[in-house]
Amino acid sequence: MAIIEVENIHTYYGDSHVLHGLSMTLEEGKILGLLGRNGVGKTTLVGSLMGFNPPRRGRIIFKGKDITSHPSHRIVKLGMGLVPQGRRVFPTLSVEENLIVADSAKKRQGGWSLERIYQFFPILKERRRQRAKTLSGGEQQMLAIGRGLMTDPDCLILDEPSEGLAPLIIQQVWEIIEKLKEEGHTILLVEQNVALALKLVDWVFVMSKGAVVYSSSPEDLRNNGEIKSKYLGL
Amino acid sequence: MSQQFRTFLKVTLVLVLLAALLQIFVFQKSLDFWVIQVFYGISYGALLFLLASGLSLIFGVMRIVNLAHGSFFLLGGYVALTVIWTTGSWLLAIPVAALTVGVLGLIMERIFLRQVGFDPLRQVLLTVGFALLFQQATLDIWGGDNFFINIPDYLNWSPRVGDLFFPMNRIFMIGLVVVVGTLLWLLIEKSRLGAVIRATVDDAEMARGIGIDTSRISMAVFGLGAFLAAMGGVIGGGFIGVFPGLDFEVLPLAFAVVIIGGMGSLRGALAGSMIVGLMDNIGKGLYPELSYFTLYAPMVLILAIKPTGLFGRE
Ligand SMILES: Nc1ncnc2c1ncn2[C@@H]1O[C@H](COP(=O)(O)OP(=O)(O)OP(=O)(O)O)[C@@H](O)[C@H]1O
Ligand SMILES: [Mg+2]
Repeated sequence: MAIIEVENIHTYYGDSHVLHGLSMTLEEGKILGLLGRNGVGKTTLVGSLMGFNPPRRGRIIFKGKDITSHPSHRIVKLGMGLVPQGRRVFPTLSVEENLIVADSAKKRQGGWSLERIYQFFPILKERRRQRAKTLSGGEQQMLAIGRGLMTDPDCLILDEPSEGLAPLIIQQVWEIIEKLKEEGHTILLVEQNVALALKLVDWVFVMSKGAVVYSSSPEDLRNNGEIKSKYLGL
Repeated sequence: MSQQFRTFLKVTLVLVLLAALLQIFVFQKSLDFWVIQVFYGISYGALLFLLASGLSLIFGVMRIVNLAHGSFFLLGGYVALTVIWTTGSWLLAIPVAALTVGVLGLIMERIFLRQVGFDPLRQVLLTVGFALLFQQATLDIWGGDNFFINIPDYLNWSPRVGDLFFPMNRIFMIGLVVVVGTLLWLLIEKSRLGAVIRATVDDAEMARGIGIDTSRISMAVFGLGAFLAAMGGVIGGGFIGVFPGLDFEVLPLAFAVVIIGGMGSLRGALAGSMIVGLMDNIGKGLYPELSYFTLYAPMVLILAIKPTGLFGRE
């Protein structure tokens, strides 16, 4: 069943037209990879899904509801979780406060709690009194993921989680995403690093100039030299 | 030790040194002079803290420069006068005035400011519009006379220490601000709501992206700021009075505090209030002719050393 359906959306920054009739769907329980070069509009799509920058035309359906121009906090309450590009932890808040402020009031069975996050990321427990800005890049990424999970999402968006991290740390982050996948989470993984993304995802979309230009299973993309060289610079 | 705190220490050190040099070489003032000036400076700083802490938080959360903030201070004084005239109770006047003006702030945010979004020009015009509206409204309701909020007799005496007298009403003011400041600190630094407010100051869009309704936070902070300023207006009514034009007289003071301390920070508002309060009193005690200099000199000094203010973010 589709959890997200994006239908022909057009998104702008002022006069600048960035998404040109983009459509895509995300199936429940799957990891979808969204690939594409610098500046093709991946983060803009994330911003539209989150309600930061709603599309001017087209529709976004989430769990059967039209959320196209809902305020962000309501979209989050509906079950959309975000781990943004650049991590965007709250720098002056402590690690624990970063998690607490994301705590959703509606606690459900099997939901995420502070204790569960600390089990998942022991390093965050160690650092819980430290200000988030004093953490290393990798630790900040863990915190950003933990914070996203604290909202108890039905669908988690990860926007370039490998960006700016050392290979060893990336490996840790990937293990975490793998664990989330095993637990049956639905994930939208936005990545520039194609090889990394293909390790995890169930299905891929490739974007170019504000639209989806290709979609397939990861195997098919791996074997499609033309698409890789044309849209992914490989 | 944080960078900010070191800057704060440096600046304080420079100011203290300057003051000490003046004392030794130029003025030969007595120790009593200094004790009294510092006491008056701190009590004045306490009043400024009530006025400016809300302005600073409002800017931090909403990125709004609230030019109606002085009006909240003045309205607080007038509402308190009405309460005193009808009930005779000064103690009752403080919470009633603060709450009334606080609710007015909530309504003003919800109905008007909310609509203009994040456009700075429209925000400034709207808050100026409100300031002028309040100016005319207070003139129509309370007239053009100068009033003074007489403090009750039990505060109208001065405990004596050695040769010095410390007016009870100033001691009360410092005590009140210690209590209010502590509650405010607990709210902002220790509670979950406070963490939510600080998260909104750090990155409002991201705060929405984890489910925080930042428009409700804005409304609450705006109301809180109005509440605090109005409380300042009641207390200040016993020192500077309540009169038409007071709103625009205190506004620059509030801005000096916020510019010195840094926007959106409670510690910054406290440091800024104390610096302005002390400098203003000591400066006036030493050079009465230069009162504007003593207000703006620390502001210029800080802007030169650290443009974001002592505790402001980069
Ligand atoms: N806030 C903004 N205002 C104006 N234009 C923007 C803004 N953010 C992005 N853009 C433009 O929109 C286009 C798409 O940007 P976007 O950030 O969505 O790309 P991206 O695919 O996420 O790239 P990256 O891989 O570098 O993160 C770019 O041309 C960019 O310059
Ligand atoms: Mg991006």
